[in-house]
Amino acid sequence: MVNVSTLFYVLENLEGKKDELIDLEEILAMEQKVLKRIFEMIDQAGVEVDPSLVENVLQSTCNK
Amino acid sequence: MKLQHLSDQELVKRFIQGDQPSIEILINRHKNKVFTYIILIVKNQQLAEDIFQDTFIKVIRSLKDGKYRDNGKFVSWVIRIAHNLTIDHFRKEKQFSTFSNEDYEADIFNTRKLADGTIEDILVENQIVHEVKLLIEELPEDQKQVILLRHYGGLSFKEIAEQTGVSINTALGRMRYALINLRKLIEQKNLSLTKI
Repeated sequence: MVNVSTLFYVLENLEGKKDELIDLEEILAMEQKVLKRIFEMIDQAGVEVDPSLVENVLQSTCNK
Repeated sequence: MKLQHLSDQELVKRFIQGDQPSIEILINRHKNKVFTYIILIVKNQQLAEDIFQDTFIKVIRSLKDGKYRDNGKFVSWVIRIAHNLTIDHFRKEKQFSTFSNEDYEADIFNTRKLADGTIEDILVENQIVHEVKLLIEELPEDQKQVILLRHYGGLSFKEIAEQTGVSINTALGRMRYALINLRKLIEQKNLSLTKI
């Protein structure tokens, strides 16, 4: 007998246009394999925020 | 205990109770993540700076007005605000794909410190990062949003669906296509993601 939550999961994960079943485990695995490294590289690139931006924020909200 | 050692949750609580330095710690803790999220979408340094400031001004005002419901995911909430302000901007300006990358590239890829390695190393690394960044930029906007909300906001697919006004199934589908597209692009460009 199919568990109700499993049934809902399967129904919710049917791709509308092509009736293709979306495998959440597959997505999470690909996410770990592909995305993790891409964002590690981007984050390591060291985008640094101009400290004056933070100052502006703090000043414009001070005592308001 | 030093403020730097407190959790986001504790800092939020202290700020709401009137401790101004707590918000400065919070902003400094998450500023790079929030800024990277914004600039990967808008691709324009000046606009990203404006949205970044508007985001944290809204964060502070919402905290002061008691509009924040603490669920232990402060940064997710901040990214959602940044996301909404970005979308609002594009709705108003209708300039979604008309920005030049020049300012963005000049700033985002020239920030590595010379002390990190030789100039040749830095140039090679910057080139790889540039290629990797292009992978994200080449994705359709809806797919890009999903992966950025996942990575920077730490949002679940249910939360992304709510945030972007689509079904969970559509959010999952967008993620799936984003990942398939990224994998194809990596193969086409013959990129190595092993090490910078």
